[in-house]
Amino acid sequence: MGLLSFLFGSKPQPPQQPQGLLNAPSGATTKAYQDYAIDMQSQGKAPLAYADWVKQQQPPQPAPQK
Amino acid sequence: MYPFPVFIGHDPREAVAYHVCCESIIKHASIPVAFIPLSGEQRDGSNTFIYARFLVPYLCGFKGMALYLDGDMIVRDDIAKLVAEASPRCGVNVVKHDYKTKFATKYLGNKNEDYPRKNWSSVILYDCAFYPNRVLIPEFVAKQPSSYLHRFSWLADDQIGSLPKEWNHLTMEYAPNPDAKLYHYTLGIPAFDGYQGQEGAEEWRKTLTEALTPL
Repeated sequence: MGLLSFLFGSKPQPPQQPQGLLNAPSGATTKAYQDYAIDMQSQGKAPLAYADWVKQQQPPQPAPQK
Repeated sequence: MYPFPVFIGHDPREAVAYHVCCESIIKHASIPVAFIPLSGEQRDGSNTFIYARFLVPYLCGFKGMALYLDGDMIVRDDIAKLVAEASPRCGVNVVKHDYKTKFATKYLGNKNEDYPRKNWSSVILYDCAFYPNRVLIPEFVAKQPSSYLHRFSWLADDQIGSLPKEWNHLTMEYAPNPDAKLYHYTLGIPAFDGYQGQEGAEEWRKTLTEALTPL
């Protein structure tokens, strides 16, 4: 058993991934949110929470075809 | 099993608070714990760890659970019971105080102002792996005002879980509660003049003595 396995038990788990749009391009999404939040603060406005901001980024759903 | 990480605010002006807090946790803990002192640049005339607490998920590599505590506290029950109170699918779990302070100043003459969600961030049980917590990197935290951070504004309201009030009992602000599981000497630890007779002061001094006195 290696030292890391001894110290931390089983092998490290991958980071917990959220569902849906929150999922994909992880680093890019968090960076875009950080830029947004900093920009909002500079304008004296309160930024949205991360999850609410991600929802706002979702494209509108296409209308169901008849 | 690996030690549960407990980050505790360390202010050189009252370093004794950190050590008494650690001793109180060790005394009751049924799980192995790892203490990490937190300090940092002093801003806004408050303690030195006012912003560093929001870097706990980053310092944990965005993995696992971790606890942040201000140093001016003693824990009176098993820390494992606090961890067990965590609600799932929440980035943080905190005691959601709703009070107005009775005191305009606190220890060392610091101003004590009311603001929304006051004292919510003095005990924070983090799910470091919760995805929105990934925005909390040093460069981002350094650019955010205290209002954004201390109100947990990167999280939606339903992502902020509630801990029972006895896990962050504000001495001098709340009516005495001998069953509190954590005494928070938010106005000043009992080492300071003027705060030596408050609720839990004797227990704080007893914990200090136990830490200093060999058998």
